[in-house]
Amino acid sequence: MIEVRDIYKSFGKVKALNGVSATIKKGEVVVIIGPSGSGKSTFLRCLNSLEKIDRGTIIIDNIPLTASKTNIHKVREEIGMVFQQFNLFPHLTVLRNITLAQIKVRKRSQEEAERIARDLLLKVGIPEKADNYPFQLSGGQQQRVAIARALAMQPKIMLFDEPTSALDPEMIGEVLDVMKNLAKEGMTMAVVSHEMGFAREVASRVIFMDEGKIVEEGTPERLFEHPREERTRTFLSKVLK
Amino acid sequence: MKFDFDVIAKNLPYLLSGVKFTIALACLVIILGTFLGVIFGILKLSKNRLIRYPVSFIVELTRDTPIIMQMFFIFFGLPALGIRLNTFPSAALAMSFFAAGNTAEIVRGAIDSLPTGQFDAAKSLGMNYLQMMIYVIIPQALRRMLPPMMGLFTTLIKDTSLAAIIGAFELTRAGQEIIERTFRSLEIYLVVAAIYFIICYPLSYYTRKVEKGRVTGF
Repeated sequence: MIEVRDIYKSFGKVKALNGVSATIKKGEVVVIIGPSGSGKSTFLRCLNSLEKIDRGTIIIDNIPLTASKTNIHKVREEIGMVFQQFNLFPHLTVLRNITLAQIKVRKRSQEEAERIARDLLLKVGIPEKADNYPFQLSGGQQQRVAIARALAMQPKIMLFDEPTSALDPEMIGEVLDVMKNLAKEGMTMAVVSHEMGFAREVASRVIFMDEGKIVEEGTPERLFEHPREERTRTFLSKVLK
Repeated sequence: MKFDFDVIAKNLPYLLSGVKFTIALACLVIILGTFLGVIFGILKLSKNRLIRYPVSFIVELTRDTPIIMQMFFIFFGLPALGIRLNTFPSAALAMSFFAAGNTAEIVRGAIDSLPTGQFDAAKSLGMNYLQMMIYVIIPQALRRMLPPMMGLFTTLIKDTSLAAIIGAFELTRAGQEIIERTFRSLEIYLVVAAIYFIICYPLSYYTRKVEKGRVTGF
C-alpha cells in the first residue's frame, strides 16, 4: 500500500532523512519510534507530501507521489492525518470541522456529510459536542474530533504524528482507545509515537529511527525484547523503565 | 480679535458640500485599495519569484514614498507621458495605490501569523490552494486584519485632505476657498478640523473596542 524507496530530505544543512526505505502493507499498523530529531515526523509528513522529498520514490496505492502527472490533492484525499497540535479549524464548529472537506473535496451533500460526521462523533465518544467550537473542548476531545475529521474522508491510510504528545496524561488513554479500535477494524496506520505500551499492544511492526535512518525494525516483541542494534538498546533503556 | 460665529454659519453649507467629496474620495480609495491590497497581499505570499518580486516592489514603492509625491507624480508627472487626469481622479488613484500597498502588508502579515498547522490540516484533507484559502485561511486572517485595517481607514480619511494641495475639491479645499474670501482662518480651520474629528473618532473608538474584544487563542 505504501512503498518508500531510498528517500532523502534536508532542511538547509540539516539532513532530516538520509536514505530511508520502508513498506507498509494493507491493514498493517506500523509504529515509528526514535529520539527527537531522528526524522520520524519528517518521514510521516513526506508520505502525504506535506514535505517534498529531495530524492527517492514514494508509491502510495500504486501511484508514485513525485510523478509530475500525479494530482497530489487526490492522493491526500485517501490519506488521513492527525497532528500533535490537533490543528482543528478554530473558526468552525466541531460539526463544520468534520463536514467541510467532505462537502468541498468529496462533493458530498450537506445532509450526508452531517450524518457521517455525527456517526463518527458517536464513535469517538463525544456526540454532544457537535455544535461547540474547538476552544471549548479539552485537548483529548479536540484530538478525537481531529481523528473524526480525518476519518470522515474515508481514507485508506491514517497517519498519526505524535497524537498524544501534547495531551495531559489523563487524556492520553481516551485518544489511544480510539486508535486501538481503528486498528482492530483493519485500518492501515502509520503512527509516530512515544507510547511504547500502545506499540506493544497494537503494532504489527515497530520501526526504530535515528539520525534520519531506519536503524532496525521488527515485531514489537522482537524489537522490544531482543533489539539487535546498540543504538536501539540505548534508546529503549531510556524510554522503557 | 473677536471669534466670528456668523462666518461659520454662513459658510457651513459650502463646507458640507466639500465633505461630500471627502467622503466620496475616502470610500473610493477604501474600496479600490482594499480590493487591490488583498490581491497584492496574497500574491506576495506566492512561492513563485516572478510573481512575488514585482508585487513586493510595487508594495514597497507605495509604502516608502510620501502619498503627496505619488499624487504629484500622477497629476504633474504623468501628463509628460501623455496621460492627463483631473485632480479628483489623480488623488483617488494615488491614494488607492497607497492604500493597496498598506493593505497588502496587513493581509500578508495576518496570513503569515496563522499557525502552519492550519495549512497542513487543510492540505492533508485534500483541499487545493483555493479551497484552503477561502474556507480555512482567509476567514481566520480576516479577524486578525480587522483592527489594523480600521486604523488604516482612519488614516486614509484624514489623508484625503492632501488632495487639496493638487487642487481637488474636498473639505480642506472648501475651507481654503472660504478663507481666501473671508480671511477667517481660525474659525474655518477649527470647523474643518471638527468635521474630520466627527468622522474619524467613531472609527478609532470602534477599533479600540475590536482590539480589546478579541477572543484569546483565536
